[in-house]
Amino acid sequence: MAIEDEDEFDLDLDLKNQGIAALLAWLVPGVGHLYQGRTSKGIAIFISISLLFITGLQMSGGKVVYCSFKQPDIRWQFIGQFFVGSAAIPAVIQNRVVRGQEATGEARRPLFGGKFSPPDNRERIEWHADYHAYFQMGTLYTLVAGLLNMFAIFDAACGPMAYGGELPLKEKDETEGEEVW
Amino acid sequence: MISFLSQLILFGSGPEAMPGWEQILYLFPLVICTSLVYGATRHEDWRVITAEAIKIGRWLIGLTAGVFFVALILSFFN
Repeated sequence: MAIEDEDEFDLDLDLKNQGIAALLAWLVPGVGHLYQGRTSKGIAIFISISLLFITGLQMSGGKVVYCSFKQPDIRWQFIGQFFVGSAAIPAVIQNRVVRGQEATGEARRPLFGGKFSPPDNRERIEWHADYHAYFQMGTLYTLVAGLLNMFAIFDAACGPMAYGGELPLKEKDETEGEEVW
Repeated sequence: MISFLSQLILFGSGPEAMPGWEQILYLFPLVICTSLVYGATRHEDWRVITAEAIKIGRWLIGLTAGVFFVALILSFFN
């Protein structure tokens, strides 16, 4: 098939309820696409983003995803990680629990055995000492996973971004013997 | 084959178990996943997605190699 221009490439895409698709895509990467019937794309996005997120957690002992916006630990990277969705929700819950306990002067008792909870200063220094550069790399990988899911959420809500633009695929029109885009 | 499998086992064991050049294995999930998702969110046709992913993947590897060689050259002056 010769594709001359993506404008002429009839994309029959039913996005269904775009709000629900975006919400599902945020909750679990790729599920918004599965809801829309874009199965192969949904599976590819789910595997890719999950693999990247898990790789980031694996190289840093699962310590890099936590929510903290209190000095001296302003964790701005969590804004990007938050777009991974349900995997980042425990970090928000832990933040509310731990900061609430600190505000009332109670001892810190995070949930889930301390997973995804914001560290105190001593813990944070230990984590950096234990994991060295891998703490930063794990943060980067999980942050990139979140940012990629932000693209995926947009794709689920509004369709592919380059639609209407020029295709990067060059094909040979064998009948005419000339190259067309 | 056994060597390749042992590298994968080291990858699963975490960075402490792979102190040498094997750490470069971490580059592959980053490049493959980033280029694939980037391509998939810009196009709908899998032929175009694959072409875009390969283009982005090549660009990422080129950039990483460029930064590596700059860092390597700078390290000689340390």
